[in-house]
Amino acid sequence: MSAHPDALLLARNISKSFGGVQALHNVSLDILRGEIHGLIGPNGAGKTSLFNTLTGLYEADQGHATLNGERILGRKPNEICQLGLARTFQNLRLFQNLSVLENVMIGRHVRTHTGVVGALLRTARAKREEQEIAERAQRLLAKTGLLKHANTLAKHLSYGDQRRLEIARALATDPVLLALDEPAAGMNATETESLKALLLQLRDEGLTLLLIEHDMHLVMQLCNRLTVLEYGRKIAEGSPHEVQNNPRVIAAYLGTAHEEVTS
Amino acid sequence: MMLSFTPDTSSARSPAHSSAHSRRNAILGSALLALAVLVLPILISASGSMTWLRIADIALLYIMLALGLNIVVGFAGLLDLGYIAFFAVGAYVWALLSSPHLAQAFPALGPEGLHWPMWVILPLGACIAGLFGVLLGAPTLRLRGDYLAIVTLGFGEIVRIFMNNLNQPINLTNGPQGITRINPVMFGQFSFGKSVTFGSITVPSLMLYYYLFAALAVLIVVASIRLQDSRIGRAWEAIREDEIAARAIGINTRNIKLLAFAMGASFGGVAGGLFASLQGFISPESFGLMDSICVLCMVVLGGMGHIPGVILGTLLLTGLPEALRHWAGPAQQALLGKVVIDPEALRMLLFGVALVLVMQFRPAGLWPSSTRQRELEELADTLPDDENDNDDDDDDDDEASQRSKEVRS
Ligand SMILES: Nc1ncnc2c1ncn2[C@@H]1O[C@H](COP(=O)(O)OP(=O)(O)O)[C@@H](O)[C@H]1O
Ligand SMILES: [Mg+2]
Repeated sequence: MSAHPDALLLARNISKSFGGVQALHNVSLDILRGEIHGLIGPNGAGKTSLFNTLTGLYEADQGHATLNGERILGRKPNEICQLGLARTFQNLRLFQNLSVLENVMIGRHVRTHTGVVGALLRTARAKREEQEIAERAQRLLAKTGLLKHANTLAKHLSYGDQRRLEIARALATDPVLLALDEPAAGMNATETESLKALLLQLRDEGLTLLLIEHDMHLVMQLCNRLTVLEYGRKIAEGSPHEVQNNPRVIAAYLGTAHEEVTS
Repeated sequence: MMLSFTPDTSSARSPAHSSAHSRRNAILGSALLALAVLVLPILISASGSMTWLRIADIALLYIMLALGLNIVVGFAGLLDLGYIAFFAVGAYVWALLSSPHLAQAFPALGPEGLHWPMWVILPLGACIAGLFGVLLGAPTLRLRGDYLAIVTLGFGEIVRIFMNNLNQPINLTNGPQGITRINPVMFGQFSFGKSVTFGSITVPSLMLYYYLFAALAVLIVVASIRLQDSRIGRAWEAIREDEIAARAIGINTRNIKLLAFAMGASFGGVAGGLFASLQGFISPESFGLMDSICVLCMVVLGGMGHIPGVILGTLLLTGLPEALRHWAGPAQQALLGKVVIDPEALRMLLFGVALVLVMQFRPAGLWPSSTRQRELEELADTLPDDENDNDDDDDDDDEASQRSKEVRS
């Protein structure tokens, strides 16, 4: 398989096993600049494992991956974030006892520089940076509709809002690729609708998105291309239309929830 | 109890909160507090009690220590049971560089040993303690909670044992005998070791130390506040809340943790140096596990991560035991005719009882940050009274609730 000239993220032959479980088996993935790329597959297919491998939380057994031409596999999570790959978690991982605003401000850490000396002396530069961090965080909260909750503790947010906060926090790191692990899980219809609008807005602003999602309706509406995993292997990729009519995909989903795909 | 805990204070500080009104209150409050701090030693010495003046000095040192430990435990959530080691390092740095002791081992230094000025030793002591913080922190980076506590406990003991045994082959620390004749703080020719007379007023040495320590404690308080409100402080809190999320969000957790160890240790180093100069004598005995636990109690009792709470906890746990020590003996004598319980034993009892009560009834500490407090109140409102500390969905980071669950189940 040859690399697409527009590829932002290139992953090749990634394998990862846990003891006897082969969570990922020779998975390759191309994500093109400016697209919303869907990653789908039944539960346990290895989608989250692929996220964790690409973002450095798991060490791949084999394979390589680049973001913007920079090698990412084998780097630490914080370095990968610095290179521009930000993510959210399927099981929310917010800074629970900190305010919503602080959660997003922490997202700016990787793009700011104040150290101990600057903090202790409150230098002009440190103050300016602090101001920028707060303003930027507030703008992101406004964008994600969380501004009214700025001073609420993260753990007191509704489930849907917590998911949005994770997105806001990830956006604060100025990513070039935003990877979302089931962002609509647990959201009601209205929340899902506004999430959809947000994701489309982000794409229109030039961000590339990688989306794991079980809501097939949402996937079909949002994604430009899809990759389908099953038992750790890639079984299909292509446009939503192609994938939807792929017999292997239909077979994979027949076992679990047929109507999800066809609906 | 100590081993199962997760630090759980927080503070939603935000620019949106500061209004002119609350700012005026804050200024007024600080002014009153400053006045109290300034007047206190005068009142104490007017009452003629040098003992209490010394206790006030020691309390100020403990505030510096507790605020240092608060960075590690309260902000970054790293449970450190060997923190007193850094106090020891600071004390020994001061003692070695400001006493005749080294002359014995290194005759080349001349018969007087080293007598470097405070301006050099205090920052140097802070730096060396900070370095020790990094050295002892580095091997623990992958550990959390109980495991971290056990390893740091071991490191604390190792440092103490080194101090005890480094009198051979060259006599560096003088072993268990400790180091004597440590210089008092000197500003040029002006010594803090003797009382001074201005006209008709005599200022005792302990009062001179008091003002010096108070000034340095204020510096450390300001440093703590500024660190907490900074990019670094937020990164510490992020690690405390969720280390994996912190890594994924771009925080270099290794460096940020080491920074917490280094900053906490350097505060401890400053306090240690000042302790050596105040006492004029140090020995490894002052730096045992109980002392680490004692400082940890101050932090936990007051309210981890909340600077005013930590200070309150420190004052209570230095003041009350001393009060007991001074009055429990005579009181028993008067009431019962003899001393039934050794006042020293009462002191440990007080520590234990205080901690159990606080953990049971105020799990976030006596004076937690306002957000944390509000939260606990909300919780109390939403739950029937007897379920109060038995709730398990929202506050499973509350130590008391966890412990009470364990106890009841
Ligand atoms: N940390 C881990 N330890 C052991 N097994 C794991 C771990 N992470 C994932 N797995 C296993 O890998 C497989 C894929 O899981 P996952 O990536 O979470 O699937 P998905 O996100 O597609 O539902 C599952 O069988 C799961 O049990
Ligand atoms: Mg998953």
